[in-house]
Amino acid sequence: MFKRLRGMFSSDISIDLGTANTLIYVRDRGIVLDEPSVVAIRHYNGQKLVEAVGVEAKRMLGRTPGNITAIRPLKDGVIADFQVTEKMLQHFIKKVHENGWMRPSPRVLVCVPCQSTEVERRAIRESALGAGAREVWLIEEPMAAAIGAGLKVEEASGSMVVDIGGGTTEIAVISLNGVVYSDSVRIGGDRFDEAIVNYVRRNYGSVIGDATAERIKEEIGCAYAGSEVREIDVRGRNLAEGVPRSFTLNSDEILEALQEPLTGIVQAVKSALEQSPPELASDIAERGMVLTGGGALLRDLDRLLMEETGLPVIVADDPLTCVARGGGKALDMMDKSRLYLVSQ
Amino acid sequence: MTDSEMVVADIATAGAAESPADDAHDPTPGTQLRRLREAAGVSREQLAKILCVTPTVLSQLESDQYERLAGFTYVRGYLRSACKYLEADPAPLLAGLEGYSREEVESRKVVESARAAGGKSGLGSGLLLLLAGLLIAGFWWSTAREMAPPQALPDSAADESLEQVSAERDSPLAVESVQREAVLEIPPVTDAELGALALEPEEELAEALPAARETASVVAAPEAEPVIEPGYREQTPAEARVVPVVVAAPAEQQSATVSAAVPATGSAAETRTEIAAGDLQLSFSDECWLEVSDAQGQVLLEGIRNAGDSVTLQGQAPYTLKLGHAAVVTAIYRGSVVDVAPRPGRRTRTLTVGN
Repeated sequence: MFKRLRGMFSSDISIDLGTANTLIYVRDRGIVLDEPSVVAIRHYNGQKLVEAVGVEAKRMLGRTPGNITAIRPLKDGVIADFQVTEKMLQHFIKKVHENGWMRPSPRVLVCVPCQSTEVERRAIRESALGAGAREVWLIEEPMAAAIGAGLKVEEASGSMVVDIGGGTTEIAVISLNGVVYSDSVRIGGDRFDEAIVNYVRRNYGSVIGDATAERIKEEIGCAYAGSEVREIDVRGRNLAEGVPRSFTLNSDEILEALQEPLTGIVQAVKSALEQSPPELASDIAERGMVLTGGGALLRDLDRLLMEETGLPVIVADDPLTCVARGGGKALDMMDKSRLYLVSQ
Repeated sequence: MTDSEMVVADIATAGAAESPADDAHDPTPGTQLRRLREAAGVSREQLAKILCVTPTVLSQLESDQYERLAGFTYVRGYLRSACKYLEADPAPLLAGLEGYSREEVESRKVVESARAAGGKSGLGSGLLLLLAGLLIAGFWWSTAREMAPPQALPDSAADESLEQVSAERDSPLAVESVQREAVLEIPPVTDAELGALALEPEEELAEALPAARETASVVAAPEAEPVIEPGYREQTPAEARVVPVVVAAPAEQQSATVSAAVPATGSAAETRTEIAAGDLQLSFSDECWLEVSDAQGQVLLEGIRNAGDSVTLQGQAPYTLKLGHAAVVTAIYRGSVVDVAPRPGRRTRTLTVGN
């Protein structure tokens, strides 16, 4: 009863629980939280205490003393550490209800990868309930992404969405409020970073951290040759000498480094097109596919997919927030009409 | 019309939109795109090939025929891709799209709502909290009121009340207050007295009768009609009838058999029906909830009876019986046993007796 009472003072929220970032959309307020999915844990007298969550914890990644561990509780789009995920969600839900007088108990819609198993979905649901949610609904990420991108998912025509997140790339063909075909490959922004780290180690004999690799990707990363060549100065620890060294990387090198994960995404998109029903494939060929997620911000990724598939490829408005926004819009739609695109 | 004819027609439409007047004032996104393309020296077919769209689509885009395209999400995407290739800033073109259709406005609203940030005011939450508190308190109060058992006055209090009534009766100044008190306080007094009377043998009834008569005289006084509370207004006539029944009981020699377990806190109407000689007798071998109503729908008896209790009811037949544990009830109607056994697999029974 008290949960229900607390629920009267909590807003419905949609959570894009991503491997890299967690976004929270609050009804009537928009996106109020966009923080890295990172938690710093302090070990004290055999106990685990939450030291920091989100941006603050991400700053600690790779810079922690022995008694603090900064971890990412989600891996490949699903929960890797249940308890830490619960704590993180609890922190975020509390943060978006800062003005409240009592502990929040909102209705929560969480976006899940379309290929996640029942066990993984149950873990996400229970994690949200444990974090104080009154009710939990799940929606598949590509569906939320399509709604967030403004596609007409309710029409009897095919729309293709490629959502490139931190841990996974979700590809789906959507028609009549349903997912006709979906595929999920465990390639995303993290794999891009990993590929850059490996490239630098292999070619420069230096080790760089994940945060540096991410900065390189954001500043000079590109997916298609032929555009302007950019450069960046990087400092890493030289493996042979054991001391930090500085060197310069250019965008062509990063393109070379990213070839493997990019090829994986292109193959997955081609496979999805091959397996789409002919009528829907025709719709997609006419309109094109929509890129969402943080990976869509990689320079010229749309160009690469256009060249590889011969179809129009567009990047959605504000691709990073598409999933969370779509979840929020689905919440609104749920109250107006019974929707089959969410599961409880 | 073939595809090539459609392309020609679309290009002609686009050409019509290229009037100098349109170009000079407020160029549309399509016009701006065409200008950028022409400035870059790229033909429509070339740009269409680069964007992987058909020349028809590009032609519709340049002639601002957005309704023929799949939606504004795609339109914005095509414009952005074209600007990227033509190395131009897409912002003016996207800004020019505003207001083209309601769909466009709604589509943009989705993006803008995501960027909007604002909090609920603390005052609003406070008011809501206060309102919720009041609602809960109201609900609790009403529930508690309904659930609370009727309060029976203790015997001493009842006596005290009676003494007060009889003392004040003689004072003309206190007539009105006596009337009100009499009406308000009679139910518990009557219950208590009747309960006490029920416990005594019939011979002892006579001793208690004067007191009951005195009470009756107060109750039955015509001046007692103005009643303060509506709830009591309903009860007043019933209570006015109670005492005559009690008084008349020995005179009419009707057996008013009431078991010793009849609670003193029962309602006056219930007690009346139980005391009155009747033609329906119910006896109980175990605890059972029941409700008995007569032909007029008036509830004669309602509540739980324990093992060993027996009740005799008088009313207008037929009676409707609702028995919670029918197996433990024995019903006798005008000397003959009525079958009240429950149906197989059931525990309760609802039946009509005396048809």
